[in-house]
Amino acid sequence: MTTPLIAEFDSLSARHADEFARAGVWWTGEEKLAIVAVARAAMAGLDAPDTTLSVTAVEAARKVAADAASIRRADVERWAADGVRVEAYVELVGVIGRLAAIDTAAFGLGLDPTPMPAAVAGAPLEATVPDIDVVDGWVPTDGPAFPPTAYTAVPGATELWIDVSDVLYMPMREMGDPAYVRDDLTRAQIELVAARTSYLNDCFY
Amino acid sequence: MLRASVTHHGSDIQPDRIVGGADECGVEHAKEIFALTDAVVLRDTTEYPDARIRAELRIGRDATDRLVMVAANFQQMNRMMDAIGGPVASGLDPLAAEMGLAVPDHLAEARR
Repeated sequence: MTTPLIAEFDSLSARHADEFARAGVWWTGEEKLAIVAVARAAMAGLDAPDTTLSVTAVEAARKVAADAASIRRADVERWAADGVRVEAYVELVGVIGRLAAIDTAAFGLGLDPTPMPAAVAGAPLEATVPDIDVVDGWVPTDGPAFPPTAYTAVPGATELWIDVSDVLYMPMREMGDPAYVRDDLTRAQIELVAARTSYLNDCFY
Repeated sequence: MLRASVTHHGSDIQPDRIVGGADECGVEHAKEIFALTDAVVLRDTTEYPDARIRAELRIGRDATDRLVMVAANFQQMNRMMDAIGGPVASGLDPLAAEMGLAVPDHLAEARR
């Protein structure tokens, strides 16, 4: 049965599948769909499918998708030295993060995985953000590295993250409200889910 | 925020029980919440159907769907923060200790 929540999720997943198929800032649509395919295989415990991605990009994608807690600064630096510039890595993380969210939600809602459209031809924007540098994380961020700045090295990436977070979690304006309730789930229950998920992922965030 | 929201409702959180997945940790219906969160995050097709039904019976259809969506969002958040090396603030050390954990060196190296 379709509910308003399911309808909102369907709209979100279709919106992001369409975005995956289009050129971004450092990857073409074909490459982003390849990142999706590699990440899905990794999350399912399968070997990487054949794609046009470099060996380095495949390694980074698999690690972000299925073993993010094991990533270290040296990995990010090595991937950059091997051709995946740090901004492209940030965009890759954003794509896989949104994919993991959408695929997990589909599973938990009892829906089929979101189908991906065909790639749309087009070149990446290759735009950098001026006056941005590594502060206290491993990638350039506009200020200390925390969620609102995590993707600031890639124009538009923060807005894509917020779109997913708003629909699945809560609007940014509600973040500071300990009494917030959404769909009868209290803030305490919401944060318990968050804490348990982080624990299962071996993440200290 | 978990502690703040629990305190807001006049209770207290027991962080070590989040790690253990205990039935009672200070949050209402934790047993069903843990079971469905685990099934969804781990993609456990065996446990999922029962966990889903039990959650729906306890907290309702919409709250269950929201629970799933929140877990899904943190699949995104965890990958984001682990992949960019966002440091864990030293102020969270006591909470980690309460959970029986220690912040790893690679996330503590550039603390604010």
